[in-house]
Amino acid sequence: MRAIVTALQTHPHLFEVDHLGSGAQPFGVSSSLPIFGLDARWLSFSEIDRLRTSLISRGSKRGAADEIDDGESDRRSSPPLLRKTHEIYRRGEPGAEPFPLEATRAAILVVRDPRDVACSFAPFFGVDLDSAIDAIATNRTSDLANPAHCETAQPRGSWSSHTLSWLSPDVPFPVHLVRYEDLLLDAVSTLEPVFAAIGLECTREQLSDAVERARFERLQDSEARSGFRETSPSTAVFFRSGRSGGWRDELSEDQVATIEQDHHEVMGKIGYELETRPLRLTPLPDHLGLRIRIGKVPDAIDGASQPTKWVATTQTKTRVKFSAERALYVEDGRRATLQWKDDLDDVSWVVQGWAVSIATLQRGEFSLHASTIEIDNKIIVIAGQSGAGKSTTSMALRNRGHRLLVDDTTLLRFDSGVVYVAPYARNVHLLPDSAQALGLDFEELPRLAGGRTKVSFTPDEPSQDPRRIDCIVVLDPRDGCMEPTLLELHGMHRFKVLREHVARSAVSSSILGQERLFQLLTDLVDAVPVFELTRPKNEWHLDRVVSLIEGL
Amino acid sequence: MIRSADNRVRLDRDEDVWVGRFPGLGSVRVSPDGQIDVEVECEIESDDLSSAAPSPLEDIERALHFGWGEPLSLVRRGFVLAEGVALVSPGSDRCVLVHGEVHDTSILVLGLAARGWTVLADRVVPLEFGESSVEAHPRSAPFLVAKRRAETTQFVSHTVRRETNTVAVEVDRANQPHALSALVSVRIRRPNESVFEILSGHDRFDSARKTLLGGVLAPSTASPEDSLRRSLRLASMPCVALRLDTYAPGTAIDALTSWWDSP
Repeated sequence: MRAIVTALQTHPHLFEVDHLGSGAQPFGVSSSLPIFGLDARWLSFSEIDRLRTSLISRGSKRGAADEIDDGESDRRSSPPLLRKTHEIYRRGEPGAEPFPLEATRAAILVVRDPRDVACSFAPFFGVDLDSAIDAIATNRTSDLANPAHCETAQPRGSWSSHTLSWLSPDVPFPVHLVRYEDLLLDAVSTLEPVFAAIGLECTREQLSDAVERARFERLQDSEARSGFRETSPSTAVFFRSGRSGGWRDELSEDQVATIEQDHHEVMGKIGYELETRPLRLTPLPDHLGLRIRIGKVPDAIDGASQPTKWVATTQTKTRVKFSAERALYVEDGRRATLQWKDDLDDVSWVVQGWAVSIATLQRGEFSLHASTIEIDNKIIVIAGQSGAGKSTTSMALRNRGHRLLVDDTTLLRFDSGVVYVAPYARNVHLLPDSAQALGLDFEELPRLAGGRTKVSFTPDEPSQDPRRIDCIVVLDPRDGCMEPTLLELHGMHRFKVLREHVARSAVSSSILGQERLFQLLTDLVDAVPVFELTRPKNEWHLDRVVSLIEGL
Repeated sequence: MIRSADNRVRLDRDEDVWVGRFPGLGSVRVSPDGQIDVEVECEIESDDLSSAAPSPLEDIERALHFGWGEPLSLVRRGFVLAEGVALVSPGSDRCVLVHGEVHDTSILVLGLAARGWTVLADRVVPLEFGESSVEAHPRSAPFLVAKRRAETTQFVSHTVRRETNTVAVEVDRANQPHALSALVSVRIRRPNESVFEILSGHDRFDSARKTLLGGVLAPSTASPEDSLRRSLRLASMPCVALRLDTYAPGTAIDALTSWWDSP
């Protein structure tokens, strides 16, 4: 795109790829020296963003004080300045808008098939394909500014979130979507209406000539002759192949499956056809730092113990085999591979539950088999064995206006004698009677994969900030119990009860080590009060249970 | 609809006294004789040490003075300004101008400083074009690098503001004008590239031309012919391109110093 625009605006004899208008000047922060005489290295993280906004406003020639805006006719009278960005769209703070409205006429969003993007990303950044696939799936939205290098914050998001941000109806100016593949097929027909819409005037002949001069092979020749300043330090050439569909020769089946799993929703919106059938899987939030790939799980792990018949594990590598063709492999607390075939149901429970809790153990911490709810700023963890009613109780509390932070797997963080929950959005799994008791239509909710009888309900996304735990309530349905009662536990009894509710308790010692687990449980017991809430086993008394918890 | 530019950075040069305003930070005023006055906009308790607090008053004053007031003052005092870092080699009067991206130049400058070179001026280098030589003049503004880069060296450094990653590094400073003897263009090396190249022809002229600052930092009497003459004067000096490996810049620096020390 830039090559075409530069060719359009440059005399044919002067067009070299190394002179491509990057769109950075006069908008880059380093231009603050000639424009304001200001050395941006002296600025703070937030001031440098504000400086950029001033440069953009000034560069668009619409930054003069008290300017009268006459509306669209005024905007379209002058040719547009094109500015290149890799950033996600966001409104920004007042005075630090990355795309100030008074200086922005429109946007052209150039997208490329993420499968080809991964193949291009890898050599450019000098990484392998798996790392490239991980990188374009990572939703980086909070990159810090770098005043020492005169750089503003440049959050890029993942391939999907970046695309969605620009296509959002919240963007206050027109956005013209251009697919790279369409440019290759017929750049003139693709760009002619876009350029007309943004006021970049040219005849079809001029555009055709520019497209010809910016042909990929010519850019390669130009780079070979005079270099290209934007080549990365990791690669000798920038213009590698330029074709579409090259991923078919470069990516393995598993890599294609992973990319399509990561991006299938947006790929579908843009019109990219899928080769695989992505699993029904709610993505994990980025802050958990656990990357999910699709592929084959290793058959064996060197030096692994087998704490249960379906789990083989070392301290850093764990394989869980659900069936002959369904397995999960978690390594180093950072990566999980999901091998799962032929299932139309929701497999999120494998990732949100098993993968997350195992990754937590591999990182040296543990989680409780518990839900966590916020009641009037108090953080209450509700633990219990399977079927004790954790999800039903927490959903009932949610129905009373309290906030569900996480269901079923509560990740713990220990810091200087305080224990925190690390919330994340996890689907709530309900049996038919629980769904009915909560007023949900069981038949309308997706069933869990693997032949399970529960359905999956997705609550609102909680805040990601760790929250200090105020108390733990252990639900204990009992025969012979007449009505729900609440009792605070003391001494070793607290330790014993909590030990039983460590998530994946069968494998926790094998991964974490006995000593570490004991230490963490001791820290938990010392830091947090524990209550036992007994209730009749065959009769719910849900309202009474909920009221007891609210009263804590 | 009236748009107010009150929250935008501005530099007004219509009057005798140039006024730069950075909303939320402060302003600088530079007189025709180069005198600088700084005014901080926000009120800060200088003893508030919380990490969420803005920088102390004196840090902001220093930032406005060195980062904004001084470059404007230098151009008002008649200097021609180059972008880069001027260094003086140990045991000689010879000065070199290093230019490139700030990330890349900082690696080279720290490497040379560790070998005894002294820093004359950082980021904005005042030049005086005499009949027979071009002199680089000193600046008192500290030498700035990214905190992470400074931590890889043995030099002492100080944060310049509370909410930034820029630090001032205590390297040896030269405080007298020196004749400029060469230009060094520096960037990160790409695969299969050589670390050192003596520039010639268009590349040499282009390298020299790009060091001269324009816009508000261009000499007030500059005509296109003056600008061309100055570019040619600089291009007449030896110009080299240095390509660094970020984590192992020693090879490139050896090549530079070897060339510099050769007769």
